[in-house]
Amino acid sequence: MKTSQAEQPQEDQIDADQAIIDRVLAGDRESFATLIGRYSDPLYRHAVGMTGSPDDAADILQNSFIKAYQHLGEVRGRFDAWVFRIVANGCKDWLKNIRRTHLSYEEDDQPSGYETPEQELDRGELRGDLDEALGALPASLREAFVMKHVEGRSYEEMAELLETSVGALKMRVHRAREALQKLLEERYL
Amino acid sequence: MMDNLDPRADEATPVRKTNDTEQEPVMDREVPLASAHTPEAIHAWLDGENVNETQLKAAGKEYEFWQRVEAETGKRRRMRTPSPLAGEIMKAIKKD
Repeated sequence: MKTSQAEQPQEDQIDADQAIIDRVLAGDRESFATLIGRYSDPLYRHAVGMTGSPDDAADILQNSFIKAYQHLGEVRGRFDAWVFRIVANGCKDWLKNIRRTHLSYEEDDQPSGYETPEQELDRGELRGDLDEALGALPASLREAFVMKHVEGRSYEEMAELLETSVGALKMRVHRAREALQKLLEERYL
Repeated sequence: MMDNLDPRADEATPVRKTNDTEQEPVMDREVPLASAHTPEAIHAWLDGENVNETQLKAAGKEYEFWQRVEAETGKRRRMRTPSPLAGEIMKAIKKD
């Protein structure tokens, strides 16, 4: 199979992750912190996007990394894709178990993870409305929208992580946008 | 009970007859989804394709709406994991 130059760093990353995994499995538990530092931000964004709750997202992330540590010997291939699936399944379980009504960010005094106080203070109406509209979407559409727009992933990367086709994901993202526009158009269009 | 970490574990639903178009999981089809018509130029722009500014401006309010949504999702793209979390995970691991 032809390997493009763009794919080369990914191979390096897999090797680097595997070296860390080998060290952890050999007893160097501290090295696991490197994997957390490397992958926690995009996974946290995914969990916040899926749950609408920074607090629940942090819980899901914590449980997922602990689970990943406990099963580290089972990693085959890309660690980032493997741990993503654990987090994504954690989010889906959360959605199945929680009957969400309306989560207001204004009522949520947990740290949001925004970088600056200005961002923290900039809690426009659209943020709450977008959260509510995202919460009304079916899980698979919400997942696709969050991965594309909140995590900023390419369709190719999404297809690899979700083990589906680029075409199917484009369709999901387009359907998510059209549903969100419908839900928000009365107020914003 | 052992955790099943197979990435396809949640897809282990009864086999359904499929066709060429994508089918959403049953849970996702419980509520009919109303949808607006978002112009193709907007989809293409949001997908990162080069789109003529004239085409986007022709979309009028829809373009402005999606620019606002993009600004909001852009903020979320800069979100960071709360700083104490990594330490809490490592503390829990060491207890094991």
